[in-house]
Amino acid sequence: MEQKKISLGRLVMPILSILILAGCASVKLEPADFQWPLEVVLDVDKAGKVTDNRYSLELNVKQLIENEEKDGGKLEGGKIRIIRDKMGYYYVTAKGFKNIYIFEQEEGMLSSKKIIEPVKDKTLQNPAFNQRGEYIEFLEGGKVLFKLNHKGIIKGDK
Amino acid sequence: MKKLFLIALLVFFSTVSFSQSDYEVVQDFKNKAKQIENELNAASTPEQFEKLSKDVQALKEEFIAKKGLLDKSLYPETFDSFFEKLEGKLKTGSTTAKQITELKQEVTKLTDLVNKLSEENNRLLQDIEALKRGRAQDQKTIDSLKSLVRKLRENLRQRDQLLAEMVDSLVNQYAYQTSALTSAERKTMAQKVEGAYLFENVRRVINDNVKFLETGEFSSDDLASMKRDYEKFRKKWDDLAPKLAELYIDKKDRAAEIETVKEKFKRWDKKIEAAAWSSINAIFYRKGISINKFSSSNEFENAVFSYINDQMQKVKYFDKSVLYDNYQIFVDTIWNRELKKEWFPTFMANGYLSSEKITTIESKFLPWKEAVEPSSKIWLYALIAVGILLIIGIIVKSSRREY
Repeated sequence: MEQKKISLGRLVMPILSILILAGCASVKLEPADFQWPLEVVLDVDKAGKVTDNRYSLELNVKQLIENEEKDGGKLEGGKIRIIRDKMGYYYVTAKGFKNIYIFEQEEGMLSSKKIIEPVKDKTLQNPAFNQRGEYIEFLEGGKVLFKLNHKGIIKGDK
Repeated sequence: MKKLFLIALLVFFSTVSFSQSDYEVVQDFKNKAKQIENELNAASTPEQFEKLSKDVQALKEEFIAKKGLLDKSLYPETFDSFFEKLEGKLKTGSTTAKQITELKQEVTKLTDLVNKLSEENNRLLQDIEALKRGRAQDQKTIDSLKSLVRKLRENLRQRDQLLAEMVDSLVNQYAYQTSALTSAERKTMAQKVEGAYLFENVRRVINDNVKFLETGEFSSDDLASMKRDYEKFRKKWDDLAPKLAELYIDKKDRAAEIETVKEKFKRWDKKIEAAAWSSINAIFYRKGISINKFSSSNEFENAVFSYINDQMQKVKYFDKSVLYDNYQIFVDTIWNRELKKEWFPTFMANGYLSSEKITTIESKFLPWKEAVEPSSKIWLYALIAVGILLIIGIIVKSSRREY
């Protein structure tokens, strides 16, 4: 019986060592700061593509527009506004939209992490993002409505 | 109470937060800066630059509070580097504008002088034409014509010199620059060129000189000096033309004008040659030698050959002494004393006539002389002497017979 216990310990220890060593092989670079100092306002082309040269960003926002339309919003003026926060999350909205979308980056795509409706049942007429380092400031009609991070509206701010 | 109310109102309004989007702030800055830059590019007077200097200062003060945001947003520029560049441009432009204003004043002065001389030249040209139309060939008319032509020539030289100085003071610094002009240099130079009426003045110089060359005959010295002046002016233009072409690469009319001026220079050169041949024509005419007109070396050769053949043909019908006189005037007086000594060196130097051609023509002189020279008079004298002796002999003989 005692012999059996020893053999189990001998079996687990090498596996654990391999796992620990494999963990040591990956490198982490931190802190990293992905923030854009300023939001970009990009034209949406016929195919639904937007391009930004400074940040070498190219996105297709067709699904975003379709989602807005399902939700009662509509892209007005053909421009969308994007900003990226310190953690690397993207915040997207546009004139005529009902929502603000918070995206995280994945392999070859952005996937929405959070969708926020800033003003209930109203489309945005003059939305804007300001970079404030620890958070993103959201403005509508020249007024700061609230502060945002990737989890959503920062509590106690709305 | 009223004061308290006002303070309360102020406090109320200050608590209402009206915020501006950073994007709008940056766009606002960029738009205002762009407008200033556009005005800066179009500015040309010191007053405009002074106003722009104030605008730049105001822009800086308006956005200094947003320096941090603009530092990040104007990438790769920063707030400071942007203003440094703008102020540098402003300073350069302002200095150039001052220089241009000073140059314009100088050019205006020179242009006035050029205009005065041009007007006087026109009057002189008219006077010369009037005298020539009068066809009075008395010494007084000839003298006044000569004096007018001299005066006109002197005026043209002065005027051309003034214009050359003007061109120098305006564009010299660019004309000999081998590298391509920067856009600022292009702009400055274009302003100077237009302000000095460069094209108009160059055209006028060429036209006046061409007109002057049509006024009549000239001495070989006159023509040599006119050719020198032409070469000097053309050299200046040749140095300048590539820069002007670079300057007016987008302006088709000006680019075409550069070509036109080039053609005009060619015409001027041809006119000098034509005037030179015409002056030789006149020498023959004045000495009573009726030779065919010529205006090139080939025509000259043909005209001389034709004249010599004609003279040799006339031997059959005319008194040789007259033909021999013509030979002597042609060869000794005109050819050897005037043409060979005074004219041909200039002609050869300018490529109007080759030494081979002169030798070919001269090879005809000996046969011509042999054909027209009267027989030697010694034989005649000898015959007369023999005749006289014979007569004396006969008289003596007959008188002896009588005794």
